[in-house]
Amino acid sequence: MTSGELLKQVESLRWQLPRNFHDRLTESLYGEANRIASRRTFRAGDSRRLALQRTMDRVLTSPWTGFPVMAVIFTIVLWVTIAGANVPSGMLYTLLIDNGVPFLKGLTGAIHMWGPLEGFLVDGIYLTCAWVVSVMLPPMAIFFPMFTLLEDFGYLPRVAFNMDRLFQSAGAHGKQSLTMTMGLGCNAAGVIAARVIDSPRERLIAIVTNNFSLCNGRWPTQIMIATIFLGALAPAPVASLTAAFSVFAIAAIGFLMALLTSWMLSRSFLRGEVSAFSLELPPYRPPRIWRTLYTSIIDRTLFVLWRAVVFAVPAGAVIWLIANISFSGHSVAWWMVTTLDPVGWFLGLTGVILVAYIVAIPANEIVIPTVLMLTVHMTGLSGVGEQGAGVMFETGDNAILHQILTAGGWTTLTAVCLMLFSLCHNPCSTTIYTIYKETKSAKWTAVATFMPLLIGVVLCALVAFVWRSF
Amino acid sequence: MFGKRKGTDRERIRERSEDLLKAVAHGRDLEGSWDPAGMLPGVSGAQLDRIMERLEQEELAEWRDGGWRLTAAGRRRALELLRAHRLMETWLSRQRGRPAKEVHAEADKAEHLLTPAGMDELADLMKRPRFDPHGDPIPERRHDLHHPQQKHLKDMAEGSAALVAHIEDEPESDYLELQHMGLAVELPVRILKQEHGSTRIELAGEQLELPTRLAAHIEVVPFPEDRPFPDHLRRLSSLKQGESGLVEFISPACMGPERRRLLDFGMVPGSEVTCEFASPFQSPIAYRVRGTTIGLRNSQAMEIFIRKPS
Repeated sequence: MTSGELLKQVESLRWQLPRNFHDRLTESLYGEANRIASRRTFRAGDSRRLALQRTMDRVLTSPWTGFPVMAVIFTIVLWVTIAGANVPSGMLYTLLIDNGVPFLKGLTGAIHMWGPLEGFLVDGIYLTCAWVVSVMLPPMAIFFPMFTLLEDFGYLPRVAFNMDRLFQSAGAHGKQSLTMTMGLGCNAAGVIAARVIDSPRERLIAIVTNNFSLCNGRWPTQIMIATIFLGALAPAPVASLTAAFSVFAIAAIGFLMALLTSWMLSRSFLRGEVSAFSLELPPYRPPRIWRTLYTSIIDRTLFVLWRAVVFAVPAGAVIWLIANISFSGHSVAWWMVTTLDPVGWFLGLTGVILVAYIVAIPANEIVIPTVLMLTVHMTGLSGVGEQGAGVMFETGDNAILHQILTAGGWTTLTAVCLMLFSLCHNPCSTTIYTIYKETKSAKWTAVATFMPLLIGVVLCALVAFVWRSF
Repeated sequence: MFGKRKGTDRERIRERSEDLLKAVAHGRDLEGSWDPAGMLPGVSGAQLDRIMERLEQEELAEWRDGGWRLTAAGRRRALELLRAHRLMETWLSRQRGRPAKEVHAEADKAEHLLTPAGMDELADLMKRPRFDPHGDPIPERRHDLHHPQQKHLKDMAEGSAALVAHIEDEPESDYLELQHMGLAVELPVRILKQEHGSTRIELAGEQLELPTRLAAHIEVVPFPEDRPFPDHLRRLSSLKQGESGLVEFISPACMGPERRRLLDFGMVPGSEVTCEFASPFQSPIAYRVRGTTIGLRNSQAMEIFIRKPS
């Protein structure tokens, strides 16, 4: 037989094999390996534990109890965060600002530092950082560990499991609910987490819509505004519950917005096949509390806090500068606020809030302190913030905050619109940069940046219009 | 692997003339004559003239015995292009896990850029596949096209058993409809009733009524006589809560990363799967296999075939 004939014979025999012979071969290898393994491995037959797992799964994923349990769990997490953060926040404030600022002023006084430089360093940069730490650290140190505990317990995959159908009909992937819950901590982290989604189309949807998860930098804003303006509308015993509920409502609106925009994207620019969903539902297990506390405080809390502080430094400098550099008799801040006031009114907000959002692009955390500082600066309110212009401050007393903000022309409408705008506006600069790194596309980065802003503007204008019509 | 791409007019004529060659090869009759306009619907007469002029110049086609026919070189080139197209489709769906809907259009573009060396590289990379995702044979590198003995589903006798061998991927809407019904190549079917206007088949314990429009896209080979027909075959999606089955195989329609992931979870022949619980919207559904609980959407559970223990 010549080599040519041999090749021909091989070729013709090749076509006689069953079609899926390759797959069958691989699969029978897998199957055989499994058979051999299972003959020699023995599982501890803890059937009582299995039954318990089953019961929990039934409760946590049933049509009747699945979603109510989910809502209750997330409301509890939020409520504990809100209620629990107050005391340590106050303590940090006393330490870093009430005692820290006079201490630093004493130091700068001792070395006869040039006045404006002292203002720039202490009133600008230090105060902003101190504010960010005292406002952010306690809620994060409560929120992240609780979240990690839920993760450790095995609950989060069940959330993705329960939600998948909703995401599927929006043309997205169930795992997007995981990136969104991650986004509740930090949107940049949520964007990175989208790597778990295999399909490029669905990953892009998850990245672009992640901003609708209220991130940790925005929770304090929501919580504070909800407590001061909306909680105060309710009788005292249920005030904090009302506040928690309104924050939960905003988070729920964010969830709906994410679904809606996912749906719109998957019907227009990101059209395509819905890919597969396969998600492991790990067994429930008692969370390892100490380990969880340690890792979530080190990995998440301190990491995010450090990032916030790094961005607070230049922002603090800018805030102090715009309040202290003057043009034609008025500060830069005054000019900016006055120019943006009509736009702000149209959106149910104020010029002060819009300026704060421009200054606070590096970090959402400093929106509220900037608002307070600018309000005092603009109204010339006395009795509070007498440190001087461009000084960021906080006061632990909600009554004083309420007084300051009302003096700045705030109403319940302003509070509602601010909460909506805080949900729907451009992501912070870290997130924008992360989106660019993950998508490698200027176009999609621009979409992810401006789409929520546009939605926020339309939403606030609509709410303000309807509110004023009644 | 790919040559450079230029968008000039000449380039477009080249691509269209390649499309024509491929269309002839797709029609399986390489020797017979054909009508250029029928092969390239929607192309203007002036363009067709230029295309035929070019093919004649390159001695790929000639006017002989009262019709256009391929020359020997033309037949080779036609099979080469068909090979490029089918290899590309296979690569896109297997390696990249792209949905069937997209691979055809993408392969239509990529085939013009693939050099013969690139094709061989691609084929070796995939361990020389014989069939593309639609069940069509891929021409060999020595340009032989294997013609399996396939019959149209509508020509099969009532009561006979067969394996799906080919599903035509054009028009796309029909293909997607068949895919949605859970039809894929290599699945065993039993022909229950041939009626005027429709064919009724049984597939994995379910009866499907195929209108002739759809049945015409399906070609089958008779079920091998040396094997018993798997009457016990069911889809995983047919399990009710609390029921179990043994995995038989995963549908060949499930390819790439998705298939590997299922295998990694332990969805291998012989594994026992139990339907555990459903999500509030009834999809996904949680299945327990080899001590792991996994959530699968209904469309995936349809692609896993099991047997119910008797």
